[in-house]
Amino acid sequence: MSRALIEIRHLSKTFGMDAAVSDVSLDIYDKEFLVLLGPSGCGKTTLLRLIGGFENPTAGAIHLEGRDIAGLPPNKRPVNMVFQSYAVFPHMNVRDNIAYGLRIDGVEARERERRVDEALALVQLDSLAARYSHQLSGGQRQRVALARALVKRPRILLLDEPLSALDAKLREAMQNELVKLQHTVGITFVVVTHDQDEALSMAERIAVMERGRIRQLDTPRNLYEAPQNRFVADFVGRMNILPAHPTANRRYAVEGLGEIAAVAGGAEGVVAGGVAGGDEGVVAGVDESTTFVAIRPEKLSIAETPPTGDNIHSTTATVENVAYYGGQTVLTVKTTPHKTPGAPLTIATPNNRRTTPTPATGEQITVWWRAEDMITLAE
Amino acid sequence: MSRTEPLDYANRWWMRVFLALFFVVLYAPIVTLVAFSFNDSKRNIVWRGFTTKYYLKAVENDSLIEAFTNSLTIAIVSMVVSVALGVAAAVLLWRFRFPLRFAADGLLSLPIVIPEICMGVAMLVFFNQWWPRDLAWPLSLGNIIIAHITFTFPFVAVIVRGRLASVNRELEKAAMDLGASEWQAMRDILLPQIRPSVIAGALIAFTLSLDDFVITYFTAGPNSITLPVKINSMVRFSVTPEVNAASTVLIVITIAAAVIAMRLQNAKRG
Repeated sequence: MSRALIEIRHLSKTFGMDAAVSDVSLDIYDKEFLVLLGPSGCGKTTLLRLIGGFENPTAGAIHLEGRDIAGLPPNKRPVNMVFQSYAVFPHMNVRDNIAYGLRIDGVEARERERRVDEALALVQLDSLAARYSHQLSGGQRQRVALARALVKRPRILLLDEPLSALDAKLREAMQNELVKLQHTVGITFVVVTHDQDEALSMAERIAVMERGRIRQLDTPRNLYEAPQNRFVADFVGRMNILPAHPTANRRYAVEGLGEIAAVAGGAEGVVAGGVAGGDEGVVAGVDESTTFVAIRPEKLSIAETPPTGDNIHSTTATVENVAYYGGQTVLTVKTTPHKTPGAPLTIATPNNRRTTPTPATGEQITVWWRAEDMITLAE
Repeated sequence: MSRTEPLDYANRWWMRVFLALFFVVLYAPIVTLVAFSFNDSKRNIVWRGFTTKYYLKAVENDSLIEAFTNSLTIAIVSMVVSVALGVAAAVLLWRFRFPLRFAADGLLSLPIVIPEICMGVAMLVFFNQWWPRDLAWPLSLGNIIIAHITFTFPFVAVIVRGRLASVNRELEKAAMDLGASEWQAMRDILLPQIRPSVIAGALIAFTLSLDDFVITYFTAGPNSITLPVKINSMVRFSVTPEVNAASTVLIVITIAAAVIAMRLQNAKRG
């Protein structure tokens, strides 16, 4: 990734009293697959519409290759959008839908036909070129919308919740197709979604948004393994989050777990293949702002006799609920310390044998984890 | 005994009798009117044989033809203006948010529910103040045309709005995203979507104007008689088959327009 294709600087958009996007700065690179992720109302769609030109910013700038495009209407931007409803023109067949943008641009007929054929082939709609919207399935409509936008050869393709209208099976297939398509055409994709699985599986980078702000911009792996704050940790995947008080260097008092070690969340030390071992990625000194420790459910294990080692923590717990999902079993447990009240934990245990035993509700179990899998979080 | 399905009721004799009566009451007067327009008799009571001479007579009646020409002129002009105003109002209310939008929405359909007689009196008072009396044709029809537009364009707006309610707002945005200007998006994408409702609205405006009596009666001057007003004045002397013939022509035009309008409104999308 070289120089940014789009530079967004201090961008804000307010509707009346509500700030939909507030002071967002973001670089989007050429040929990148960026996902804007967040709960509904977090401003991700507004941000997309600002890039597309469907909203005018209240403040801030959007530079495309150095040129400020914030004031340009959508038809003057080298940016195209795939709408949530796909917005396939119902009175035109597939071919005319795809040709519309070129016709508006005055592309000469033979060249236009050639490019439409190319786009049809790209999304494998060659055989359906004469069909109308109501004769197409949801997935086919989406491909029409994709082809219609891509035929204009935009610098950036914006996709607003592109998969939300599809059923679960098709959605998974289309996730892969979108990534493949992006590699084929080599265009920057910016996708808005509220579905974190979708975001993690497709994106090169994810911007997690909350109340108009970007809370973390990172690779899917860093976002999952090294969230910078409680919101991101909680929103992306499942997370056990427990209130904690720093006691000594890298040690925290946690109600129900006693004094344990944890590494700083959002650490730079996450590397391919896993979290760097040892003290790397561990912020020295007591971080006074730390108020939570957190661990992913699948990083908690159950065993009658946990392994021993400096970095192993364990505790006893009572099983409160058992949910069997086939591939894994999710246990809700409460730790059973001596004096203080117990801490609630969710544990995801893989069923990697057909005979993997499942604890029963009420059973006493031993839970263990590695200290470097426990991270600290600020609010 | 088996349960009676809803459709089975149509097979009951009493249901059939009721339906027959219903249609007789509804259409007997019109059928009679049309039938007696072909009656070879000066007085309208007894059937004396088939003839079309009263149609010829009606055609030769200059004042009747003049009234008919006036009616058609008024209907066509007010239809065109009503469509322009109605479509603009409907698109405006659908597309934009502005202060008092809901008030505007309500005020728009007011002329539909206000009693016609009140509209008629209001128009009379309004035009009496300033409308010149001795204008040349077709300007002499101007006040009637304006009066007709005021009560026909809300119908166009309401019909077009109904259609717009089911139009995906993202369609126009998608067109603009693909490079179209606002006007191009409206012409290429929005208008084709609402075209059937625009035509239906136009035809309804046309028929409403063509057969309007109450409001026209109050606004028409001696030189701007329309067909319904003319028929009314002819009936005052005697109901001749000529009146029947003129009325039949009006009925045929109105029904034809109404049928086309209904068909277009029910036309499938696509």
